[in-house]
Amino acid sequence: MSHTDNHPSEQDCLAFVDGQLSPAGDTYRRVLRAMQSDPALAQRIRQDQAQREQLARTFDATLKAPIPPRLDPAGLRARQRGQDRRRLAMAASVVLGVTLGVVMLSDEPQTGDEELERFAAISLTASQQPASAPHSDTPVDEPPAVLPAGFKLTGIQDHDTISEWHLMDRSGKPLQLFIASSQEPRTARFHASQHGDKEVVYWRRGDRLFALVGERGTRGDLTQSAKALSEISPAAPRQLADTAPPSAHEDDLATIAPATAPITVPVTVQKTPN
Amino acid sequence: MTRQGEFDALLGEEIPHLRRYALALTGSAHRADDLVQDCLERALRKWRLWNPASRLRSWLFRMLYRQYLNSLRGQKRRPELTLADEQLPEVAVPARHGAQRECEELLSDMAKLPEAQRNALWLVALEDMSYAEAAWVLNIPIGTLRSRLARGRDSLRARHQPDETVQPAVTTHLRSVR
Repeated sequence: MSHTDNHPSEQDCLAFVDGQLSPAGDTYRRVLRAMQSDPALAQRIRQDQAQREQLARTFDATLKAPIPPRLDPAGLRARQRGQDRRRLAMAASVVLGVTLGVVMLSDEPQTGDEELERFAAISLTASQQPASAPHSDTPVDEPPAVLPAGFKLTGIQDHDTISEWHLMDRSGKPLQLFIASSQEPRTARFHASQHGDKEVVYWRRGDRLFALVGERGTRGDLTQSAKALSEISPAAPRQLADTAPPSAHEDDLATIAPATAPITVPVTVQKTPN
Repeated sequence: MTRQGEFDALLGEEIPHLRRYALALTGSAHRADDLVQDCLERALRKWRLWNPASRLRSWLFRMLYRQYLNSLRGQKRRPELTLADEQLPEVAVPARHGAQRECEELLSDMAKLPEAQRNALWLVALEDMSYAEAAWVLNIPIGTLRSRLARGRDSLRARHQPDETVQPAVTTHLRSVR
């Protein structure tokens, strides 16, 4: 970089102007010596240094100017989180829509009850969402219904129109019971379906729709649990203002087999692709 | 404080420097802040890619410079820098008459330089970066940076003669002239 005649090169002078040389280094001292012996070089270097300082001065005020709120990292971070949540919700909606489409279009409805089939599909999908994990449940101080012996309620999540109960069955297996209100009170027997690694048994009792979701391959146990749980009378999900109490449809219950009697469960496996 | 929290705090400290560099690049306070906002948003998303052993400012400047180049693709021309424009109300410069005129001349001369030379000068002369750092930000070899600086300085020296009677600061404003 430096010349053999001890005169600094153009690059040395440039580096000197830009503060790239260590004051303790030989090159730095060589440039200083050259400036003492060469007034033209000294003037050029000083001119470059003056320009450099002037440039810094010209923009210095920007460093002290107040920062607009829109550049606040905390605000930007919060906005990004909101955007991420919206994207996630949109993705979940797409998944739900696709799942619903697959479940509903892949086979004829098993019950002829479109509302019940749709509810079962929603319950299946909701049970596979991370938000359905029991740790996010509302703590249960007072169970909203008397449960059959051996069942334990570990948590409740209220979605818009659906209540999701997290239960432990008599053998300690986790179950999810989805409950919704219907505008058309009637009764339907137990039906079953499966999707992914989940299995669902669903039924209708009066103006309540039920879907009991468990792990795939536990249909027998799930059906037994559904029979036991078919007798409960839960309150309506929070978001729905039902006008008719559950007891208004007691007559309909006659068509549901009592828990002690043999129940014919028309279990037809849904032919849904995974 | 979490690692993300520490990053956000460090990021906040770099904002004035990002704004200054963006202003030098764009010549417009509004465009500069838009560019800085884009850069900050990107940095907040990519914060895990930053190596704490390296200088955050260089990492951010490189990001900002790339975004600036991207933004240029949709534009035919960039505004030239000069002084005294209400478009840049928050950018103040030292400006008693002599100093103001000098600043104006210097910015005008800078604006006449080829973009590559000007960008090299912004980083080294304005932001006080090392050659290695500036070359990394601009994604060019260090030798290329040196030659751009040398040519830029030659041009400035030929065009601009500084007034030795620079006075202390009074506030005025920058503007861009199309």
